[in-house]
Amino acid sequence: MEAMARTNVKRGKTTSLRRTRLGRKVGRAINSGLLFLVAMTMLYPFIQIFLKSFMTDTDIINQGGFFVWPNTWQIEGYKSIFEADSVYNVGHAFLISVFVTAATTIYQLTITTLAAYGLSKRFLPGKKFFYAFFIFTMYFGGGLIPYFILIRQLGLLNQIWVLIIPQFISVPNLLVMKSFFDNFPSEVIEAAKVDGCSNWRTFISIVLPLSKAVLATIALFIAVGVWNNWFTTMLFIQDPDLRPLAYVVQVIIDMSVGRNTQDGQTVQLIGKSIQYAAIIVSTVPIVLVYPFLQKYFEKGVMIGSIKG
Amino acid sequence: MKSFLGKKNQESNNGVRIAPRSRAAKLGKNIWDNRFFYLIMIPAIILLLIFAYEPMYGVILAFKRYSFKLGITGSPWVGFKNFNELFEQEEFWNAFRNTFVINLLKLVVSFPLTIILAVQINAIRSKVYKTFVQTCVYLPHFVSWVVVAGLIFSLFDESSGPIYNFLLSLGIKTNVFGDGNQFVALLVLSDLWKEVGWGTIIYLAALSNISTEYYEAADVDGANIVQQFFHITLPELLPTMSIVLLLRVGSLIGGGFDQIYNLYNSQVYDKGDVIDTYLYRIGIGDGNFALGTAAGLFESLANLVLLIGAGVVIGRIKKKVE
Repeated sequence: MEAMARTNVKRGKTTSLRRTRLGRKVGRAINSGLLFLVAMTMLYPFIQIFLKSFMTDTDIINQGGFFVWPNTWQIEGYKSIFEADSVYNVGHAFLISVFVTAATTIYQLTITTLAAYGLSKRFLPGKKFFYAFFIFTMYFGGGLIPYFILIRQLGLLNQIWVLIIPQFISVPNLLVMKSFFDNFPSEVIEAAKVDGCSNWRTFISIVLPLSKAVLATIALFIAVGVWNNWFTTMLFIQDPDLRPLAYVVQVIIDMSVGRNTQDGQTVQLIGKSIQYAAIIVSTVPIVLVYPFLQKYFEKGVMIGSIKG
Repeated sequence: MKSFLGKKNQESNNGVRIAPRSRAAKLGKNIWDNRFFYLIMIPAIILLLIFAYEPMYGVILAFKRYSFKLGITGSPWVGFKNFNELFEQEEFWNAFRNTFVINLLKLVVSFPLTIILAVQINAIRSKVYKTFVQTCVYLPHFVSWVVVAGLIFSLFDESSGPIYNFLLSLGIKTNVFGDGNQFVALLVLSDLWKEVGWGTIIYLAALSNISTEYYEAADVDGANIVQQFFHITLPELLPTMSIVLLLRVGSLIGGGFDQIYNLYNSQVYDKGDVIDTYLYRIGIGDGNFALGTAAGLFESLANLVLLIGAGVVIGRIKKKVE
């Protein structure tokens, strides 16, 4: 934070110092213009699919250009995916997603925070070993099949818990949090000890409240990851009532286009506005938390990147 | 561990002789005093043992014939039979080659463009505009490949896709889901679209640490922007670039499952099938667990070798530069 403030001051000084040549100004305008194009490239696919989700299929097909606008706004796509007796049952899947995301975020955040705080303790005998124990899993793994067999052996197949229990840590997140705790002012902890606080008390009522920013960042990262996770469901869950939204959207898109195309002819089983409505419904929550994410994540990622 | 030994040496330097027995007792006391910190690591350690280390033990299945009844431990050993079978399959080598080619193309395209984008963003003066650009370019990173695949299907739809129609109006009839080469181009470009913005963050952090005095001095000396880029910005970014490159090279074999699984079909297997998708089809799809485990182990080991190799190379380069 301090370092950032310092650079800002420096930059401000440079503005006045630097000679404003015409060439520089033109260059800067070109730069800004190019970046505007880049920014629009990032937004365009979302905007067009948002608009198309309110159009009828005929309307969508008739407007094949870059700029589309609904002739008549309709919400049939949304209606049909939210019907309780429809095969998609997006409303139910949405609730499953909310539950799984909330539960996993709390669970994973707790385990990650505890482990990171333990690893950040200075002069802890065997610390290097524990550190290596965590890091090693980043570089080597048993692979998909042994993992699949393990999950089956544990009796987690077709259970909602399979979406939660194995998602207990992400080592990169652990490293970000560890480096945050590494830089935590030790005087504060020493002062608490002098006041007779136990390790647990110090952790709960002093360290955690001062770590809100990093905790919020990691929590949001976890939540987005869980919300987007469709693969675990595809692997382990057959019961349609246990499917979270990410997987239902995957099924809807998968059933409609792409797979089983013959001679470049697209086989279409599900209406376009239905697909697009499903995509929008699954994306909106991310867009809603996004401003909060952005506020924090640069800081979080930077802390992580310093440590490598 | 090191810090503990350091402490001990310090004490012996002070002339205090510590008998071995008391040293062990001291270590015991040190551990006991820190029991809180060990205790809070226990949940993560137990879960890692179950969900990460147990499957590592499970890789022995690569050398066995899987029997559902006997489980991994009880299944009979078959030596390298699974690997021989795997290496005889043309589909495996095809997937292996595709993985490497696709990842290399992604690296070649996105590595320089990410740096250029970061430098461009860093050059924006207006804080509001900068935030706006950053908000837009980071966004695709946070949506899943499922959603991005949906977006791509809509953009390249043959009746309503704006990109498809635009290219058609230029006389180019695209067939991104049917033609292998076009499919690979789609993979590279959609990966660029999704991750280029996110990739700039690490460079922006490095750029904000470059002292502006360098640029001021260069201005006084009359160096133009291009000269400043090559003589100040690029050398300052070198450490970050080498870390990013190391990590990318270390993951050249593997990955890409979410993207490719959601976009591909049997028509583009020849160019678009990668190890992870192949492994999923034979392992989960066909239920050939032993063969799937062998493919997974091969992938893990190849990656490990690449990562270590890249680390050694970069370490040598760094030494030479210094």
